[in-house]
Amino acid sequence: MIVEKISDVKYRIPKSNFPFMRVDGVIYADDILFEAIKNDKTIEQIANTASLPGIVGYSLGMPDAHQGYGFAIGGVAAVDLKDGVVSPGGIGYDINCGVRLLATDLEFDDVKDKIEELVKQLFHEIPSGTGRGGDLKLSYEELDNVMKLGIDWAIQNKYALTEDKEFIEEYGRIPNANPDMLSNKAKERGRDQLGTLGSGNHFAEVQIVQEIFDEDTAQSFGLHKNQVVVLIHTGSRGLGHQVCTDYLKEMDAAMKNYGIKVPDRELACVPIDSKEGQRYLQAMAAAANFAFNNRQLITYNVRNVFKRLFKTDKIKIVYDVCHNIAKIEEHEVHGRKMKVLVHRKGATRAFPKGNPALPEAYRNIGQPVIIPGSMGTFSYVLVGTELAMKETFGSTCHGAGRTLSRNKAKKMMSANEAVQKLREKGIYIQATTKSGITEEIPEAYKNVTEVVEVVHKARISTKVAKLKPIGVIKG
Amino acid sequence: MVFKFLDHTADIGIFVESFDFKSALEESIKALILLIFGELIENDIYEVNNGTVEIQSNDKESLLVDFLNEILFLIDSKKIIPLKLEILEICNNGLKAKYLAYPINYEKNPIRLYVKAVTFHQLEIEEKENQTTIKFFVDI
Repeated sequence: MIVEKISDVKYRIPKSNFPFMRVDGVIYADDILFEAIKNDKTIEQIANTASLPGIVGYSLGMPDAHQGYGFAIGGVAAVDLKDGVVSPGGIGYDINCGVRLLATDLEFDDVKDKIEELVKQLFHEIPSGTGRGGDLKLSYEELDNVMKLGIDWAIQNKYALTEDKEFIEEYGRIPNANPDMLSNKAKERGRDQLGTLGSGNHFAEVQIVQEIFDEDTAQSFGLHKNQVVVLIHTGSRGLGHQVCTDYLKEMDAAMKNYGIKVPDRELACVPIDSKEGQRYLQAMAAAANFAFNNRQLITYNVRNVFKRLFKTDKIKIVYDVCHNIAKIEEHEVHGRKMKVLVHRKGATRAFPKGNPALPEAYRNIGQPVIIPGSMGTFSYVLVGTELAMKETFGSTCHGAGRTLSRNKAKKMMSANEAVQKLREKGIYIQATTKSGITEEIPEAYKNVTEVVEVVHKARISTKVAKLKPIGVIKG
Repeated sequence: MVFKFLDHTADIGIFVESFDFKSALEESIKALILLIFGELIENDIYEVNNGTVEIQSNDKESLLVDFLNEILFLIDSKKIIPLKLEILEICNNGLKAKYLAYPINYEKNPIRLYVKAVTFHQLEIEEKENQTTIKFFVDI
């Protein structure tokens, strides 16, 4: 396949590579990250995604891109709302997997003698949910309310403060959510998983703001050096996985009725305005609202632990971003404004200042973009830019991205060694399983700092602050 | 009958070899359960669940994906491990199976690896006389 380097941070996959490509592919990467991207099927998957009917602009890959299913993880594809398709694979099995950053009024000195206790208590209060489930088993009626109302459900039930809503993407409630569009199986899988972390790369971390790159923006986000913050990374759990599984099956069968052919079955898709497409989007919105509430329940437990240990109730949400989602947005494509459905699969929205989708508090600053590192490595706060609107449908990277398989990672070091190495760096960890530690060692991931440098250099989001973990809770 | 796990950057694959498609499917279930729980430690069995699974799919590949996803659902939602599973009837796009399942004892058999879904990614079914191989990947 022909791939051209077009700048220090950009590569192009010309559509002339395959007859099915409707647009070019563009990958944001420097030479080092591009070497990693070349090693698996990422480029092929970005090219395949360019086959989606109605795709506009480019099929995009972020610097953390790696091989996924159908779509690459770290991929962005926008399709014309009028004649485009929706593909559940472009959102992924973990609908509205995302991250939420909480800012406390504490500094490192306030917590340094209690880190171990803090981690223990957080681990105790935040169930992984991969065993018996969470503390809450919702009735089906209540579960429907969680999905319909989004964060308003949490506010009504005192799990959220009224002001939390403003600091969540889509104000914590994606419109058109319809729980009736979920199968009973999806509901059954999710019913006892609200407020649970899950496993894999999901985590909750206590972190310290180690470095500020953009003083004014950091201040507007309520961040300062040495401040204690908490980062939560999880999604819609089994409920979202089942929605994806159910609709992939439905679309796989329905595609032929619309005369659609795709180069990979995981790219199964149907027209947005078809009955299957509309049903999926309503189910996806419901699962996304479940995920907002999932991160909210964890926030509730984090607040309780901090209140108990440090007598503080000043824990604010900096922002909550989705990184597996499809959104109807207006963008300019080749000089023309149009409504598109943006699929972000392992990518974060990165809107600039002035965008009406942003809450008042950030409208003159830009959207906070939160980039989690791998276990025990730095995380970053960035801000959305005008260039992201022009080049990437207002999107940027979402994390580090794996480079080693779980098996290879496990062979590199034992859980005890990994824990010891983290301790030496001043990081305490508690995990449900040993494999949860060994499979997620930092060595198995790309260097998040390199990923962030690329998006900063490409100006599709710019650096605001660097966060260093001191405590890790893993499922 | 053999199976092995395959390396994948983000996730894990399973390769199964058996004498026909039906037995390869049954073997795939065993492999999936081993991937999730590791070697099972004998349970203190308080109750045994009998159940049946009926699947209607679009074709052979989706039959495999749908059947294995059904097993994930039983583990995640019903919180049972369908250990003794037998496929009673099978055709190219449908099957009926019965199982004996045990409630999961999370103390003895914690979930070692949570599997989100079985996918079509690089899925391969190869059938020859007296030999069927299956390869599929799961999302972790």
